[in-house]
Amino acid sequence: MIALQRHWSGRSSILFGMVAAFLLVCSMLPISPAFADAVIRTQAMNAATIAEFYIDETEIRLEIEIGLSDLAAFQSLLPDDIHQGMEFGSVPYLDRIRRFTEEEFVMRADGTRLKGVLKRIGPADRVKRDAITGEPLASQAEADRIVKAQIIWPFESAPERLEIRVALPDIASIGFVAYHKGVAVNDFRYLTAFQTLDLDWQDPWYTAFKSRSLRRQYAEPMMGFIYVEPYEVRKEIIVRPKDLQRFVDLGIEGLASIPVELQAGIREKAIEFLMNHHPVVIDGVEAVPTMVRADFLERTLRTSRVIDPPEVLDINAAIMGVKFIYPHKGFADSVTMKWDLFDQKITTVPVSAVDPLGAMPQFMAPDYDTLSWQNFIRIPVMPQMADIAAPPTRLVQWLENGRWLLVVFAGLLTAYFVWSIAKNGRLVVSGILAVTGVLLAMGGWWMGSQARLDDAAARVMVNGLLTNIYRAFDFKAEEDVYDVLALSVEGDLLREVYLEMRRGLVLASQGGASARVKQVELVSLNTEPDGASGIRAEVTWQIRAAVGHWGHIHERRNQYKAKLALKPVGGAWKLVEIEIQDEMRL
Amino acid sequence: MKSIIFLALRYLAYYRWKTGVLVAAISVILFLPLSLEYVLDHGTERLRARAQATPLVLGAPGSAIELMLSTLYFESGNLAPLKYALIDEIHETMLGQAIPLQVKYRVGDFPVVGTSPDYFDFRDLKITNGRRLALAGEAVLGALSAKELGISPGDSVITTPDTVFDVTGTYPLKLKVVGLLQPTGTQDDYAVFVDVKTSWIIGGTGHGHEDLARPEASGSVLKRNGKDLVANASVAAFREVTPDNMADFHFHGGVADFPLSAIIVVPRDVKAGVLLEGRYQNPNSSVRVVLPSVVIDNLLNTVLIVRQYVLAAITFVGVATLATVALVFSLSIQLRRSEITTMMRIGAAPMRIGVILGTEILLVLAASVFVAGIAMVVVNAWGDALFGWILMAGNL
Amino acid sequence: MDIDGWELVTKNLVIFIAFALAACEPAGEVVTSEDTAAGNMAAPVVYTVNYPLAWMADRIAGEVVEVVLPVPPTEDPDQWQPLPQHVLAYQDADLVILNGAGYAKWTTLAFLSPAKLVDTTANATDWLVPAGDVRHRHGPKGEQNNTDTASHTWLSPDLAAEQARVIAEALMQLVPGSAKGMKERADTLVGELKKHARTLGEVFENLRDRQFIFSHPVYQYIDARYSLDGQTVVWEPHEEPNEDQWQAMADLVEPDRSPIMMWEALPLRSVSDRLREMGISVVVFETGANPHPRKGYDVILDDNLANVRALGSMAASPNSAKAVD
Repeated sequence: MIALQRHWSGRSSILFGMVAAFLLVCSMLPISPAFADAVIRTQAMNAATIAEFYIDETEIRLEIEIGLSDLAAFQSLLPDDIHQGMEFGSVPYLDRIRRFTEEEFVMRADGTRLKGVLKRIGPADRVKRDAITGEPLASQAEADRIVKAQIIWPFESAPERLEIRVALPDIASIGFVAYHKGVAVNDFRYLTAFQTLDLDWQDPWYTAFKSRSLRRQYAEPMMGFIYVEPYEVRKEIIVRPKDLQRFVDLGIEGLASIPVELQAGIREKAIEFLMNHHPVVIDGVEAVPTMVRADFLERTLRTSRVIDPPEVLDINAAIMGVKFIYPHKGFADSVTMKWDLFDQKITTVPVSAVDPLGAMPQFMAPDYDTLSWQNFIRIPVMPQMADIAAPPTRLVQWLENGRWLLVVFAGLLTAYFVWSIAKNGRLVVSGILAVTGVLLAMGGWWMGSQARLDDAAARVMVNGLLTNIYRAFDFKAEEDVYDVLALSVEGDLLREVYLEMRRGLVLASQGGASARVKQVELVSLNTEPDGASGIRAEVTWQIRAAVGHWGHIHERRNQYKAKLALKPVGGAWKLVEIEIQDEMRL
Repeated sequence: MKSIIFLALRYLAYYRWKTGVLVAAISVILFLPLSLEYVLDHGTERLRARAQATPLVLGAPGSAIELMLSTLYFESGNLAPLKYALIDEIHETMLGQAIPLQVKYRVGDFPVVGTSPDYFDFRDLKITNGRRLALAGEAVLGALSAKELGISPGDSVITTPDTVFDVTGTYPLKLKVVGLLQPTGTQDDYAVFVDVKTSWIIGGTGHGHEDLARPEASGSVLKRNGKDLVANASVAAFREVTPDNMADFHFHGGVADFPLSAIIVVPRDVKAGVLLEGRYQNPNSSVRVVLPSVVIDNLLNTVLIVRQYVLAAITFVGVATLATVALVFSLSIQLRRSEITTMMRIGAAPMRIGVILGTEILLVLAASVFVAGIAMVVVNAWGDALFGWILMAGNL
Repeated sequence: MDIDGWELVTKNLVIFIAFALAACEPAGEVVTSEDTAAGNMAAPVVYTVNYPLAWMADRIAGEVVEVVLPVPPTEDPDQWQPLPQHVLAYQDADLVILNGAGYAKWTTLAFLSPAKLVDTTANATDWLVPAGDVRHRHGPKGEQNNTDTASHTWLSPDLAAEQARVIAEALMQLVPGSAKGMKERADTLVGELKKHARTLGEVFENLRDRQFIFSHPVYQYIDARYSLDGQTVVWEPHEEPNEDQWQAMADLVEPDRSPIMMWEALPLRSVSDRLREMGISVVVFETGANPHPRKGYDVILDDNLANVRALGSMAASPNSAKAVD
């Protein structure tokens, strides 16, 4: 039995791994994607007028925020006093309302014009919206003033098709989104003069505008992704439980919502079913996943996140993500995934193979059902460890501390030589001694100078150490992670960093993302000697990381400030203490 | 100088009671903090030693201190059980050795510790009399538990039922004592060691009874469905494991699901220990890893904080005592005014009188230091035994 | 230069160089390698619970380990109740190879280190078959007792091959320095067992329509592996069955299927004769659970194969049925 001597490092060190774990956790939060996948970004949510159509079984409800610049276009809705005050004329109000719903803003259901009713109109604050998703922002401070109106078009029987015709008396910039039974039909777009909407009352997910430009970004009920990374291939399947129900009984038939208590069971059944589908072959060998996880997701144009804590989900809008991890030695040469879930509703499936150079999107169909990825990358993709110069040897350190002694010694020998000359003494011996002494002093002086790290060398060393610590994150096998960390971290800190990293991995595996640090850059560095051979440093550094999950690729930059203690151990510089002082997202 | 000391001594001897009380009071004030330091240092050292000798402990989520008390000191609390399957799981990692512990039952006041042979190697427990455990139903006793129970190899002990009021509870099991352990000066001396399977038998997960398939046992069969029998409550389980009935002992359910209080893990090396810890970092996991040395350190830090308070109290009392002593000396000098006057009249210089009085005080202090020193020597010499007695008194 | 001066110079230089060389290691902590155990010079000891496992371990390990089967030759290893000293010997072994599947029930109550135990059928649960024993539970909601698994797993050569693989892995971990040789020997053994399985399968295929009666409930794995669909009685080779048993046999037998009765050992002459009169062929298929005084397990395998093969070469006629050994 090997007795383990554990020396608890005390309260002074804050765990470096908390930074790493924080990085992984933060990567789950929505951020601005530097290189988002193909998101069609419009400014429709910033249009002067915003129209939201809500279609349910009995009526169409329009909530419209009319910008002040568009009042002329919507003059028919304005009360008489405002209408006259703005010199739009003197047509009676009721006539104007009728004109609006019969000529200017017409709804037809299966060809029949619907009768519109203005329910209310009045001044209000504009809802401030996210620039990408159009979702209302948390902070509504300093909102613009607008005119808000609500118009309804009731109908007696659920129509199959709706037509929206807009012929306003003046130009208006209208951004709009339509919801069918709570499911967004489109992303925020500009409303044009004529739109046709086909309604699927069985499954509002499939309700769609005829115009392809109004297709929702995430219109497909199933999607697949293959991520090829060093030491790992990952398969991520996004699937609607309501669609999956057609292939396997998840117990949600006929339900309007998915209660929390059913969700764990649904996830298990989904995993059990999907384990036998979409086979993945890596380098010619059918791969078996070592970890599979399913989560309910909330997908927006900005990001996708795991819904945690669980909440009741609308059956039509619920989305699940299932992740399969396939560890691999090194970097794969070829990966294929065969898509084998098609039916009358699922005829095409968007897929993508993502490698360190980016994503390659495709569409799978029954006659083209295999996603293939081949390694054509010519740049190094395996984690590259930074080379770090070895610390000075003991001899060099002695010479650094005692080189003045050598100088004095050389001086004495030289003086002895001079004295020998004067006294006709042993010139040969004293000469040799003097020369030897001078050479030793010179050599010792030069070697001793190697002991001191100048600023440039210190920067390279610290940067390399930090890089190598982050590199450990790229390895998947626990022994590899530990061994790589052990190259850069020593003592109790090694254990603490390793465990913190494992905790971070647990969080990541619970539906979050895996982050890879691509670059480490020192911003500032101040060093001072610490004891006989160590160094204390105050460092500020930045990292650039890439996070890929659920079809999104995000980049993140963080900056850290910390106090480090470094010591030479076993012929290499190692981090033995760290105290984080500041951390921020850039 | 001799005359001064002579006079001082004579005075102190004459007023022996007063001198005795002063010496006692001062020596107590000197002894208390020193002995407290000794007891705490000694105690913490013993606690730390046992904790540091135990690298990792696996337990169910819950109080780490309770887990430590159960694992290191065999205090059976209300710990959620682990599953035995973890033992194989850890062995399959090849990162270390897993030692099961089931601490739930007692023989009188002594804990029954169900474990595996590896525990004995781990704690370096050696047999002093008899032999090692070989079969279920056998027990090996620690030195002190054997002494207290008056048990030798060949005797038997009976486990203590949880309660006498629960008629549906498990019945006591008679254990055959096959060996006694050498004293170790640790909690192992108070334990009754059995095979973990024996502890499951005590708990009722395993038992032996008549063969229900035999016609004689028909009265114990509630229902028969082909080869599946359902026994009724009249089936009487055997109360001990003997060579004659051992073949009839069996377990119900899968061993992988059988309960354990804790698992001691001895990693192959430092790296293996960290890797093992890393495998159980999921906060939602049903298993947690604890480093006993860390838990005990945290516990002792709390104890040491209490020490500070105690020391502060002792200091306060000590200051008060010394003030009282000073008052006594002062009053004594005042009461001896006539004596001092007499000494002056017979030619003693004031300085000399002062020296005599000072020498008296010094002698009292010296005697106090001496007495306190003797007491500390005693504590140092017999502190281990004393400490063990205190622990045992605490256990009992 | 005079000699004294040279001495002075060279001595100082030597001292300096020695000093420099001694200092030529990195500053800071000197890392020493961990002390690894020097290794026990004696061969590791491996205990098993029956002869087939001991034979496999011996085949795989060669001279590298000492394989021990302490079961007395007259005892059935499955039913053996060891004395404490036997259990202590198992405790002291470096490895204990178990059959699993409920074989050698004494191991469930023995004080053995789980780190040293190798259950050779732990990962073969899909292959295990019920014993057909009576099971019981306490109360309608109680758990079943876990004794209903047939335990003579090695009689199926495919399962024996799996057990051999598990033994090989355990031995290679025990003596990593000899892993290469063990792997080769294990592969050879597994190959032989698989070949034996195929050959036995071909032989049983020729007997597909025959009725099989097993003298003892030990042939479940042969039955399952080769789909013999046999029936089991409990007759001992050295005992004369009573009339009730003969009557039960008569009720069981289907004469038109040329029944074959499989025995662990040659039954009494009188029993063989009477069975023959009933039209039942007798074949000896040794389990090999105990070591044979004259032959190794490989010979037992060959003999079993030859005995069964001989059945197929005989005409399926009651008059020509005879005991095959």
